[in-house]
Amino acid sequence: MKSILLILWANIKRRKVQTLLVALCIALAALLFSSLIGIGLGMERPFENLYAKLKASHIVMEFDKNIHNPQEIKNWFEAQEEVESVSVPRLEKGLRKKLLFKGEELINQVQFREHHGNTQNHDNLDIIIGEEKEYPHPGEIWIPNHWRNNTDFVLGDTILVPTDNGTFPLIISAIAVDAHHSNGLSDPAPAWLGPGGLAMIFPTKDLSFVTLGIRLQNPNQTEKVWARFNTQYSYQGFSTLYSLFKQVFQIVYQITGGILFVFAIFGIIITLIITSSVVNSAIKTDYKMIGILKAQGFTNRNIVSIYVLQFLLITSIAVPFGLIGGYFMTQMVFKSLIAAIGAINFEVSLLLPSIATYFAFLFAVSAITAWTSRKATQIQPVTAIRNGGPPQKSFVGSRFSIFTLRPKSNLVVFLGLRYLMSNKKRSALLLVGLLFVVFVQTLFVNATHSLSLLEENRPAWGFLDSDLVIRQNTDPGRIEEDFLKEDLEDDDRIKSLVKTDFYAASIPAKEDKAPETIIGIIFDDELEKLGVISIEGRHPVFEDEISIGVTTSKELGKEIGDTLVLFLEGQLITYNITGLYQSLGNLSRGFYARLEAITEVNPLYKLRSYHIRLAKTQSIPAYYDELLTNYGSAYTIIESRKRLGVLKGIIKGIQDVVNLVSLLFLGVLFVTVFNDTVLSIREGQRNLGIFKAIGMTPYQLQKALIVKSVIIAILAILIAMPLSLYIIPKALDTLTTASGLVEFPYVFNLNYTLLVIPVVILLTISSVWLASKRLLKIRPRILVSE
Amino acid sequence: MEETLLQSKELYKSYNTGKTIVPVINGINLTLYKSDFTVIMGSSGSGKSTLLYLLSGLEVPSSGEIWLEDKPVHTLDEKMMTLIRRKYIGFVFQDFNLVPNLTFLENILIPAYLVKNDRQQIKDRALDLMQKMKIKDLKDRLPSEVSGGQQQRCSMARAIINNPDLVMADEPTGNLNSSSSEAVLDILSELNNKGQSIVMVTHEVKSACRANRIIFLRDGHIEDDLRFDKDLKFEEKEVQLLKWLAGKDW
Ligand SMILES: Nc1ncnc2c1ncn2[C@@H]1O[C@H](COP(=O)(O)OP(=O)(O)OP(=O)(O)O)[C@@H](O)[C@H]1O
Ligand SMILES: [Mg+2]
Repeated sequence: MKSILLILWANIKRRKVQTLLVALCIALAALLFSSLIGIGLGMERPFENLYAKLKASHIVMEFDKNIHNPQEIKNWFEAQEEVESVSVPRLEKGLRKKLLFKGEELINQVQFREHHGNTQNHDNLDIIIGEEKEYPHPGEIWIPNHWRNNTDFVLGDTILVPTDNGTFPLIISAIAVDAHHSNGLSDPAPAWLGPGGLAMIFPTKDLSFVTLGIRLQNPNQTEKVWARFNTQYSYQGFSTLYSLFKQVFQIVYQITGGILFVFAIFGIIITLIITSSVVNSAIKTDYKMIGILKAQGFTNRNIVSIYVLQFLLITSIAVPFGLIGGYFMTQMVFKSLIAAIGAINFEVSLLLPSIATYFAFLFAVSAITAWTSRKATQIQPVTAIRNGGPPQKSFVGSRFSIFTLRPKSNLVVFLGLRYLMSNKKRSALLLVGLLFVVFVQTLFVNATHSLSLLEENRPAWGFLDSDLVIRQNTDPGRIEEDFLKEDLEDDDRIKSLVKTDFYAASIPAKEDKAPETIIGIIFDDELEKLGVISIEGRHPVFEDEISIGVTTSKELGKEIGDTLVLFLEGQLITYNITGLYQSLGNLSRGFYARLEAITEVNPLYKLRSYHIRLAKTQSIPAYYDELLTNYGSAYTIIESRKRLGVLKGIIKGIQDVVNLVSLLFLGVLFVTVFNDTVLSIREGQRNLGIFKAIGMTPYQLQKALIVKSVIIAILAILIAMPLSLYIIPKALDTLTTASGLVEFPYVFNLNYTLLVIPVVILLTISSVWLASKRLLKIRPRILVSE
Repeated sequence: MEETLLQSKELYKSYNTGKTIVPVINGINLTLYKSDFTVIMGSSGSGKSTLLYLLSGLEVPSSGEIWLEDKPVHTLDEKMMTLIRRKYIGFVFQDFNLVPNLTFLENILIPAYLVKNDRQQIKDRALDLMQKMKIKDLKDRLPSEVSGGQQQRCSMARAIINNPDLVMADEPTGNLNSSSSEAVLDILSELNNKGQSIVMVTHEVKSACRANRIIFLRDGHIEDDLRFDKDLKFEEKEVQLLKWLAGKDW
């Protein structure tokens, strides 16, 4: 044992740079690995934690108190054994017009909701910035954290609320988070006033909507309780259930977590590759020593244990450093995510992932080392001592003429190729490492490009591709005479004009399933004019046709050709499903139907929004200003692109995370190549000395090493790039399917992809150059006599 | 008057072993002449190898000057030094130092290809040299597949492929049996007869008698310098050398 330790210590001491490198690589992998587990845990728990902490409702009902009696509904739910508590009915009001801040319209769709205070112990708010008060005082507003993605708000800022009687100022007194709308992806999301706050702004006749929250003992009972309620009440309001809140919350996590997961797996594979090649090389350079040790009576087991102990020691020291890095990485990722999703409940314990990582690495490294060092057991003492190294293989007669020295050969290239071929296994491992790096970078540039094209590529993401939306400021059912249509139809600056509106229908109850609100978009013209595309089939053309979102299709188990029965305008109507579409906006839930589908049942129904597409030559802002001057009093006018602001804020959060990881992978590339070069030099130390002695300049030797690594890098690019172009779109589809995007709007960009090539090659060259810089300093005598 | 080939002035070399500084070469003034076969002798550790490495530019002196004809070698940086060594100096090591994954032929060709030349002609010359050294049949073998004597002959072909002004050999026969040694020494003698300048380190009196000049090193300085008369026979040289060495206690 003593002798094993002695040799082990000598090994570590003699190869300081290499030991440090192995440690670095292992630390890097530990960093990736622990971040993965940390984020994985965080992915499930923040939502549950937030829900528990804020006593959030599992069923949120929004209805007209003139239709249903809030107290009666509250009483009914309180009588159910599964129910933990029911909130007081709170007034709410969706705003038709946009809020004004510093002269600009806010992009967010807003709903004002009265907050009755955290002492209610139901649907509490978490104050992130601001004084902890019961509720906003009169004249004050609490705004949701996600608003800050797009606008910089500070406490004390004034927000103006446009009403029929002019604007009403509200002072921001806190920035808060609720459990239901923390990321702003659901639309409209609430901002909060105190009890009685709404009545100070709007006439009481307009304040008939209330929200009622029901909190259950166990989230799994939500569907059951809701179904029971619907068998006893013919409910005509809106409802949102726990599973949907959770799903909306998870979107950002699933995409980001998916990307991190793939990257971490790659990172782990690369680390394993590096570790095994380091062990391999250690054995190769120790060839003679192992032979001598064997001759002196060391058993194979003794020799394997030297290496296993050596790498265990390095691992056990390196992993904690990686864990510290992983902690900061996780925190950074969480911070980016907080910006995107608004939730702040990231008190995930990193202790468990850390311990898991530690032991996983100890195990993996020992296993690899034991496996690799089996080689040592095959060493024959006599050949080892006589040759000083493993037997060489001749290249003469090789089928590839580039591997033999010919009068035409370039010496540097010849030597580079010899380096490559003299340790084929390590060259192959380097190739595998670089394959992953090239793949990740190709994924990175193209995913980034695709995300950046959200606005330009709106149809593919499922958004209506119009330039402007102009919408009548009325509540449904109270349509005023519409003069706008004629004006707009006569305007030849407008290329296409489609009237649309949201429509809430419901899916009738089945055995144990409650009726469900389903929000559709009704239109009066060809949807293709707004660029709307379908994944399968086509959009409706006749009044009895309907197209549905892919999520709705999955949830209802309905396909093209099936019929769908909806309850609307007091009747059950049957539609034929003609198409499936996707949309990130509503997670591919809902439907498209023609105006005639509704007017058939209710001839008085009218659409309130005009989607305008201007002719190419027209300026959108100029036209916007013109509409505002002419119709601003009775209509809300929105530049369509600005409606994506919320989403863009979230995407930016994801992008930050991906940038971070991509950068990390360039680091991985550098370390992998550096490691390989150091190993090449170590193994070829003597040869390098001989080459120097017979007249090769250090610069030529460096070039030969560079040639070797660059050839491998080019090979990696040639293999990984075409492969990634095929795999990436499919991988992204898989990642976003849960968010309702079954076909990720992937846009391949040749230029960015090509840019990966010089980056990878330059980084490879500089890594080899740095790793081999020491070559310049080493005297040939030392190399030769080593 | 003999022509000067290589000259060292006040040459010093010491190694820093961390704790102490070990002086190895202590002020050597040495002139080597063209067409000479010079042998360096001396006890183990006296600095023979170090001197050879210094003179060939494989090692940098701590102080002093080295002139190769009119070129101040000691002032050159490593790259320039390498370029000079390529052309002017061929080196033969005790343990051959052939590149293990290159064939015999490739080992010989590499230094020649480094110098811009007609490569086909070089190849012919290499094969020619191998023929003379009786290793032509082994041209596609790897060093590990042949005997030590054959390896050393290959390494000599490598050393002279560029027609260097000076061949340096550090105990070229130290690892060889007597018949292989003779073959190697015969090649060196033959080269010298054709005018090739040679410096060789050796321990053996018999090998040293191939030379026309013997330098004796002790503790890093030249203790004695012997020049044989031109027409001395081999046996006479041997007697003279033994007598010369007798007082040197080695
Ligand atoms: N890198 C080094 N660091 C420290 N000392 C060294 C180094 N290289 C050589 N020496 C010392 O320099 C002295 C001369 O070494 P050198 O190899 O020149 O001797 P030599 O005369 O060739 O001996 P031998 O006949 O055994 O080959 C020796 O004492 C040796 O220990
Ligand atoms: Mg020596």
